[in-house]
Amino acid sequence: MIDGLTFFWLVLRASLLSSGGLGNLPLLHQDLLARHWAADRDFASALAIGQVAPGPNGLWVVALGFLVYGLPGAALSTVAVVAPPLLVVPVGRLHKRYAGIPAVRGFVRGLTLALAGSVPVVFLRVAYSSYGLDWLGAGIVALTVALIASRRVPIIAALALGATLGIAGYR
Amino acid sequence: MSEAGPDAVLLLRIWTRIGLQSFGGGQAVQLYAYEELVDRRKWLRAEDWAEAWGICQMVPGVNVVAVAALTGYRLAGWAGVAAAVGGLIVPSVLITVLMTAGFVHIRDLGWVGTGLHGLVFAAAGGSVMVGYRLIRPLLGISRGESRLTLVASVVVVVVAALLALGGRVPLLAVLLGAGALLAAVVTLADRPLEPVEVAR
Repeated sequence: MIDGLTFFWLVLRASLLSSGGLGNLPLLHQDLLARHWAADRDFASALAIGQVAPGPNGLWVVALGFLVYGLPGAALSTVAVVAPPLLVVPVGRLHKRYAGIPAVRGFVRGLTLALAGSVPVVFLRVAYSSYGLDWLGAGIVALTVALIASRRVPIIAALALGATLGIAGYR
Repeated sequence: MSEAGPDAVLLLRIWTRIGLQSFGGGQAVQLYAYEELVDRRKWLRAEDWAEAWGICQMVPGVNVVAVAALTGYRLAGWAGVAAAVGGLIVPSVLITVLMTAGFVHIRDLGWVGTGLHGLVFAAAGGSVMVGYRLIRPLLGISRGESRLTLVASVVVVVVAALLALGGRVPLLAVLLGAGALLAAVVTLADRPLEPVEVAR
């Protein structure tokens, strides 16, 4: 049984220690799975919906909240995900004074690098745990990487191609 | 910033449109917002925009929300924040919830499951590129500071990836440790004349 306050705190904590819309994935994945409040399938579905739905990708957490905890989950996730970036208003005023401090720059960079290394790994783990791995799955990953790296295809088109290949290949 | 200030209602309308147009995520939002605020309305100069993004890297969470909040604040105060962030988020959240609710009803249809299967792997590939595009410029900055900073940065990426693969170590400690390590190393690199000794 999910406890709303704890759920809110877990999403908020993961988002406070994140950078970018997917940055809260590793911590949230570990925390919610440990409590059996979500399964890998929930994460897979929510991440996919977040890619397709309008607005920032970070709203994938709203889909996750809805899947595991209904409308209260969606509402709590929304607040927990929108609040941390609002810190930008006070930080914007202090920016000139603190942005130059090496320890501040270093901390932000270290956190971002750790997230950039772990987010793709957790994402691939979620995909693998939900569906297993076969040649088509690996091929779709490689194709999407290549298409986005080429910068010639809009990301949404690369994702649509992956979905189409899935429909065609996994009967 | 121009003299003809926007009012909050206009900000709300503009950011609602930006949010709803951006199927496919953050980069699309970034593109539309720049076109609207800098190119079309000329409320912000390109330099203001670049500075806003720089500041937004310093705060946690979804960057586009931070950009909306910061530019909204500069253009119309707290009412601007509410208008810009509300416009960007509220309609998109409602649609996301409706889509998720719809998904729950149709997820057992054959093509929905297989399409989702393909989409999840494609999105996982996308996250690899998102990570790569974050790592590359940051390693460039680290390289410009000192060899030690570069080595520490590479170590952080590799160790975080391996620990995430294993999944047993508390990631909270990993993230905070990575931040602390780079904070220490960047501080050391900032004083190049002192002999460098590293504890870890």
